[in-house]
Amino acid sequence: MIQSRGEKIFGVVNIIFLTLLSVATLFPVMYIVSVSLTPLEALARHGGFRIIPAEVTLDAYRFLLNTPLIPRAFLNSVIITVLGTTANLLLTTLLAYPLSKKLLPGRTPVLGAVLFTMLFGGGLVPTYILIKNLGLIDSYWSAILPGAISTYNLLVMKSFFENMPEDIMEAARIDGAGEMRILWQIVLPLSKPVIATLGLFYAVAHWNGFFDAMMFINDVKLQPLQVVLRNVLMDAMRAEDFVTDQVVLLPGETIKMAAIVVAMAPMLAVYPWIQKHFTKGVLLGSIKG
Amino acid sequence: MSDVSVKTRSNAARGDGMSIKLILRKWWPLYLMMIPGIAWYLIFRYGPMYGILIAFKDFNVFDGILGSPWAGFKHFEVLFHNPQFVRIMKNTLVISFLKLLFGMPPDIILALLLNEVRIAWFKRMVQNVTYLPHFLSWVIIYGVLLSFLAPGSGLVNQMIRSLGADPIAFMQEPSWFRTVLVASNVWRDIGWGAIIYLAALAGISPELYEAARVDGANKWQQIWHISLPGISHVIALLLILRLGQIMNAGFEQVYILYNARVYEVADIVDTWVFRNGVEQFRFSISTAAGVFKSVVGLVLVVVSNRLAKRWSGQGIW
Amino acid sequence: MKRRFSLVLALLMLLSFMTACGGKKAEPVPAKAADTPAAPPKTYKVTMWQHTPFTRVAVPDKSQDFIRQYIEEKYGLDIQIVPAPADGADAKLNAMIAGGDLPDLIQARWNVANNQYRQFMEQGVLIPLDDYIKEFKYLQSVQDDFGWAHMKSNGKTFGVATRSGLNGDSLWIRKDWLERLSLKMPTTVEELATVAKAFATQDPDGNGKPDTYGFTAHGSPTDLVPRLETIMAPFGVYPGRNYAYVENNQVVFTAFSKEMKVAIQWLQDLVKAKAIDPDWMTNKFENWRNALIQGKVGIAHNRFELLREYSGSNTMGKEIKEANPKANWVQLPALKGPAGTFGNWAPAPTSISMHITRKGNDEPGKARAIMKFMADAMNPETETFNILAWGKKDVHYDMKDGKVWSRLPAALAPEAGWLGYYRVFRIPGDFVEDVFWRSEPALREAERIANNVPVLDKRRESIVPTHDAAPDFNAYIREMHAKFILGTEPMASWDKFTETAMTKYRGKEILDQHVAEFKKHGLIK
Repeated sequence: MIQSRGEKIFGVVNIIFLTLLSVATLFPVMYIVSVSLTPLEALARHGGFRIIPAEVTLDAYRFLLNTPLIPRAFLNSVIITVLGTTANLLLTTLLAYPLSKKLLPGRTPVLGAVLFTMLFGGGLVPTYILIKNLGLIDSYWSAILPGAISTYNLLVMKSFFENMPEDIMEAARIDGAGEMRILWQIVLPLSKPVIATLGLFYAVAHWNGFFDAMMFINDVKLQPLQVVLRNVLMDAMRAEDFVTDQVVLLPGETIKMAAIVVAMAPMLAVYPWIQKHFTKGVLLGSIKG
Repeated sequence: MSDVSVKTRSNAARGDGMSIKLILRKWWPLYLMMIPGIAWYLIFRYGPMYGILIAFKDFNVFDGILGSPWAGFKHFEVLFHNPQFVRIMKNTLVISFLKLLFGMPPDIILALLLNEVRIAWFKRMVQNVTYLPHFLSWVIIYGVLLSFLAPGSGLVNQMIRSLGADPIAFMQEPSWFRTVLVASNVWRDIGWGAIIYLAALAGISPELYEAARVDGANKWQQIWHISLPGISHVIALLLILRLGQIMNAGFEQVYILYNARVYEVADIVDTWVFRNGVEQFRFSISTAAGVFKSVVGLVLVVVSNRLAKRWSGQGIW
Repeated sequence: MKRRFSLVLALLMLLSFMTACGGKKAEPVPAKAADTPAAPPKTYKVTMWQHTPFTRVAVPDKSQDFIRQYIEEKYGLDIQIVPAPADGADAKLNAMIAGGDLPDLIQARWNVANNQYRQFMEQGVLIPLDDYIKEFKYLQSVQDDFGWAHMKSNGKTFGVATRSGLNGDSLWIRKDWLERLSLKMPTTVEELATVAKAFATQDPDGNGKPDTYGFTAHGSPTDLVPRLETIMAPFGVYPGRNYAYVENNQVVFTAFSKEMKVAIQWLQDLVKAKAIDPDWMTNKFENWRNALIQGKVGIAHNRFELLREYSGSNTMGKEIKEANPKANWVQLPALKGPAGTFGNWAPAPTSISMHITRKGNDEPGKARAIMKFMADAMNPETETFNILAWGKKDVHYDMKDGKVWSRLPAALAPEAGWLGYYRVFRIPGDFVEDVFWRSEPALREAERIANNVPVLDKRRESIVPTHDAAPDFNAYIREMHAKFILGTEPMASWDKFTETAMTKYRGKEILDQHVAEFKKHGLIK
């Protein structure tokens, strides 16, 4: 592809701008990683903002991995995220596809009802009672089911389905294919970007999720990472406020930052895997084929 | 397919005069697909919906929600008559609107810029890096903000002082605080917000760009006539949804960042509700405020959807 | 057609409502009668919800928990401890109770000012304990009448609350800075102001940089500038907060008094002279802590353990030594101010509170067994107390000459964490701290100094339930005090501020409520 001069300049400026943006967003994260590796004494000494730590220690990570609760909580989070995201995508797709058919009778009332729930909700007490009545207290499902469909994500997916060219689907219909097959063999492969994106949104929500698990899971062996971390790193300010006798382990900055890194790391690993679904020209192949 | 046949087909499809049996026979695979999702909404969203009644009752824990005595609009009146009502409404709407105005365009622009990058590894790296701040809690970000903006020790103020000027207490000055709120929000979510637009851009056929280039269009024209229209459905959808959330100005961020000095510009409906409803265990107040926010949001969603339909022919429903 | 679909949908939704509501009503737990003395001994299963636990480590298995076994053997109570989550404890407790999942025993920090406690009392979530308090006499000595009044509703007592111990806070100062600038230890608030200004302007750490201040604080969403208690005690008021005093048989709100003006002007003066860290209102706890460690300030309010050096818990002393081995923090005796010579404020009448719920009374004898245990657990003369407070004899503590010498926290890490769960029964108080610090003479001395200053005991607002208008009223006070202190609002508008607070923010109603409550408890006639 031959680029004009204007395009070349644009390309360079673009890269410079994006690099600056990357630095601006990376900066605090590097600070957190740096603190997580610096021993407490060294932190006390220089105190300030240092990106490359003067001394390095893996003690904080060792502490976290050796606290028996944390590796198990990590596993719980993985299970909840995998199970949850699968359930999310399944439910969302199965509902979004029919709703994207503008001619479907009853579409409007259903959409209205769905949208209504985005603005109005019953709140915590009825939800707790519901979960309890369903017998889901102390189960992974109590962290998965209450948020199984995000109306926001549903609407996004429906919007993407609506914008797919109708002709491919028509062609398949004329060939006698049923809707389920059309969805599975034609629409989904063409929807990789949106499915990957929503999968990411759902997965992050599960991974960072705290509230549902805190409410509905009492068994410490089943609690996910965020809940356990927050307990282990009890809020230092609160601890200082009442008369404790200091047997409580008040975590230093090092451990707090290490906990943040541990909680964030898997999400960083997931994204590159998602990105390969964002390749252009996905539609191109199918039309020609 | 002629126009006439399309019309009759669509009329027939909508079932004007069609019996339920015929509809089911035609559409049953799609209805079948919808069952799990609808069942979920009924159980997990509409089941608990009666909780809204708490807003209209004096909730007693043992009488339960249905058994508690009615209170009419009493709790709403507490919200509307409180001395700060005008202020918290104004702050909520202004902050939300500023976040919308300065939040959406950068996301879109970033997605467009990333889309133009030819070097695959660079593109992926930038995406991966810029979305990181989204995972940092506001507590952490507050620490970062302080280290830059604090009047005594902040880096920015140290620079200001070395230039001979007086330090600015960005986090305490009512004239600066909203800027800090909006800017830190943009910084945190720009990478994350761009993802959805990138997904949409990935769906635009490269043939369109090729054809445009052959016709002599330059980069800006390509973006304006191909990229933007291609993602316009997402932009419209997100805009409408954000308008529906206009009463949510970002409680967690405000609560962690604000202080008594900036109440006048930063106290929002949610912080008021937290002080008066949540912290005082007056659930009815919290619920009533929630209902009020939802009603406002609903009106905005309906209105903006109608406008979107008029302008672009397409809305949410 | 559309209408038909909408109808079907609406019917389905209605069905969901019904199904969800159907099983939801909490089965009212029948309140059983008091126990029959002839009932055979049995073990009651008890869940104890700790609303503000001292620790959050994993609750141990029963097989490792010797304290739990001891309690079961001696009192017939098998206690399962359930700590509240670090975040959202209130939401969770309320949802659980509304959903019918009551614990038997609740540990909290409640009194009548707390709306949640009042609702629980009035709606029958908790049971009255008066009969048991009468039976187990030790409990009566846990509080004085004024303290008990904080736990009552309609004359019935719904909880046992221990007194607050002295909190061991002191005003600390950098002696090495004083020496370097040839200043004497301040004894009055005026002298403190002079020293603070000197610390800010005369480079006491000798590094040639204007990076030091007199003192600092940190902000909080509900409190303007916490951590200045020992500095403000001599003024008798605390900026940003409103206390209720009884003077000349009248109720006085400190937020508007002339003493408050004096205190605010004192702070204004220091702000203008840049003697206070400009970050003082935006700091969070971490920043405040770092300021002390890094030597950014020379005057600080802190607990007596500022000097504590060994690691494993509060490492502040260690970090200070690391940052600067020459830093010499010493405690100041009480300063003299407009209100007199006071080193601290009297502790609140109540701290930890224990409550039994309806569920705790669902079997005959259960509530009584719990109360019997509680009475022993709070009584330092019993073996139960020692086990709960200190752990296992000869393992976690020694008895020397009839006195307890605690080996914690230096010893025995694995239990050191979860033992904290059982410490909630013990009254915080200096004699207990005495035991604990007995093995560390330096700290013992620091604690003695801290807890032996004259304290100001005028606050009475704790007995008054929180008025509906109070949050807005207090927020307005915080907002205006901040403006006065920082100089963005002229002192000339003080009267206008008072009037607005009393009228627009319904301060008059709140004041009347205080008067009514104080009359009820005999504080005014």
